[in-house]
Amino acid sequence: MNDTHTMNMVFSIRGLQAGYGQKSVLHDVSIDIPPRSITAIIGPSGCGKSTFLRCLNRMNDLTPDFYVRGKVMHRDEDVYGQSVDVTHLRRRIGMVFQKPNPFPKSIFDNVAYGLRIHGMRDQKKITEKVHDSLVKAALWDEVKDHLAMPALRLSGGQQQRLCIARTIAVAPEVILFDEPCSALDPVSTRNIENLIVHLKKDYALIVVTHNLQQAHRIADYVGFFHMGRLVEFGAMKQVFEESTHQLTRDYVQGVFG
Amino acid sequence: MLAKDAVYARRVGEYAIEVLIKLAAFSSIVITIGIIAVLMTETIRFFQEVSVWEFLTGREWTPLFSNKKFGVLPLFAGTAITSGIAMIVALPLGLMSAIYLSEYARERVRSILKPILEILAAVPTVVYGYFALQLVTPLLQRLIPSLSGFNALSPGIVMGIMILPIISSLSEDALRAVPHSLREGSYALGASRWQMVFSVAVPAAFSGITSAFLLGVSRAIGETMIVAIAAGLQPRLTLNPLVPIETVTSYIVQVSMGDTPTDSLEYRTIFAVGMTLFLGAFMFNVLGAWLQNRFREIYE
Ligand SMILES: Nc1ncnc2c1ncn2[C@@H]1O[C@H](COP(=O)(O)OP(=O)(O)OP(=O)(O)O)[C@@H](O)[C@H]1O
Ligand SMILES: [Mg+2]
Repeated sequence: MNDTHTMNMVFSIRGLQAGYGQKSVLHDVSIDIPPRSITAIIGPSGCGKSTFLRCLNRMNDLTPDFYVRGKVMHRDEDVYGQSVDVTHLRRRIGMVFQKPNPFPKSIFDNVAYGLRIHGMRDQKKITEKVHDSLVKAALWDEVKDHLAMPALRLSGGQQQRLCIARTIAVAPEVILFDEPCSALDPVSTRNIENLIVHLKKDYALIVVTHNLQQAHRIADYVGFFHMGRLVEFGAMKQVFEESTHQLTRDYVQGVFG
Repeated sequence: MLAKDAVYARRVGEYAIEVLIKLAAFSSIVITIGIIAVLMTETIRFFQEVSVWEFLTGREWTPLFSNKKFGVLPLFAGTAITSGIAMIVALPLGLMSAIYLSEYARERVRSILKPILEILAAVPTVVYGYFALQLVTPLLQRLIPSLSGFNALSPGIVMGIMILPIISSLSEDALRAVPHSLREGSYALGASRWQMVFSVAVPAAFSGITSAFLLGVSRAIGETMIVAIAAGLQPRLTLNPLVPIETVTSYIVQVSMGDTPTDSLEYRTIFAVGMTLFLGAFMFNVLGAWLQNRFREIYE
């Protein structure tokens, strides 16, 4: 693995260890996340998928007793470096959560939120960005006539797409998804999946999922975690169909879950 | 046979308890109705002698003098100015301490600060009254030489300190009830902590903060001892906080403690002003409920 290869990666992670207080959760995880692609993170419940994902945008900084060791590089920036501005980092590494969490504000204000906190004041520009983000998130046609409506009145699937629009609005380079469909019905799930696939021409996407079919449908790369270790990482086909690891084969064949 | 008796005894016991609980619940209703009925009849008798118009618009309040005037505005002004000063003190401080406690303070700091703050609420108001009169007024007089010994400013400030823990604690509850997922949503977009607090947590807790504020206002309007001790008992239609005034509540104290004959027009004034106080507080409650509904957001 040479340097130019590493440089092209959106994330380059070496020897990552993390945990909460006495409890260590991630052990020596090393992984490279390629740009403009979908990486699915799979593994049984409690194996550390969310913890891993939240290490990437330092979302765990706020969790008491959380610790992290090892190196997480985003492009050429050390994510846990001394001089990192976390707010700036999180803006470039977006995150969408398991349960849709729109703010109790209007649809418009939800999407404009990130723009405003980052200092955009020009109303015309904000309106334009809100429009573009809603279009990109495949929500515009459904909401264009009631942008002033409280976002909480949208359906779950619409709310999740709104959260994606809100994330897109601040122009991140990567979007992290933590089980984005597990609170949604099958139709909304398909919508979000299509949207994620569509987004990969512009972003690197990392999707934690419990749903192996989903990983199969959308992922270019798959990382399989088991008890805090990255057992395997590779192209989707390889992990699902040609894995040489017994654990991986058992998991993708549903022997345990 | 025995088992049957035991079942029967238990049933009787349950029934007795049920009746007792019902009585307790209904007694509060009965008492409330009783109070309102007394208030109403005495108020109606008062207004048979004094016109509502004179009462509500008159600029002088001298029911205890020989030249009787029944304009309640000076008492309203007294209540408004002391309550206003109290809220100017209590709202920002209470809100800031709520934000500090819920968003910034570490658990250890919080566990020390919160009980201390709550002690403020446990201090008897008579102590606050003398605190205002003997300590705060003389201190303020050094800054403002024209300040009278009795005035609205000092008891207003002290009342604000008294109300602070209510506002702080209720607002803190409201802030803590804001779901963690909303905070994370904000942080994930690159918000700093204070941006998250002021653009997500505080607006989401708005209805709770509003009701804390309104509860504070009604406590201030109803507060009696502090103003009776430190504000003077001189009804005066003014918004100048530096001179002696009288509030609605302290007037009621003044009359009920004095030697006014109980079946007289003078005595009935306290029911009339009491009724207006009651209506005022009621309006604040309705306003609070309305605002809460209006701004309620549903998080599952
Ligand atoms: N805030 C926390 N404090 C302490 N322990 C935690 C915390 N968050 C997670 N853990 C523990 O860390 C381990 C990994 O949790 P994590 O949420 O990363 O797993 P996961 O793979 O995302 O599971 P799931 O599929 O159920 O979401 C679990 O054992 C969990 O109990
Ligand atoms: Mg998880």
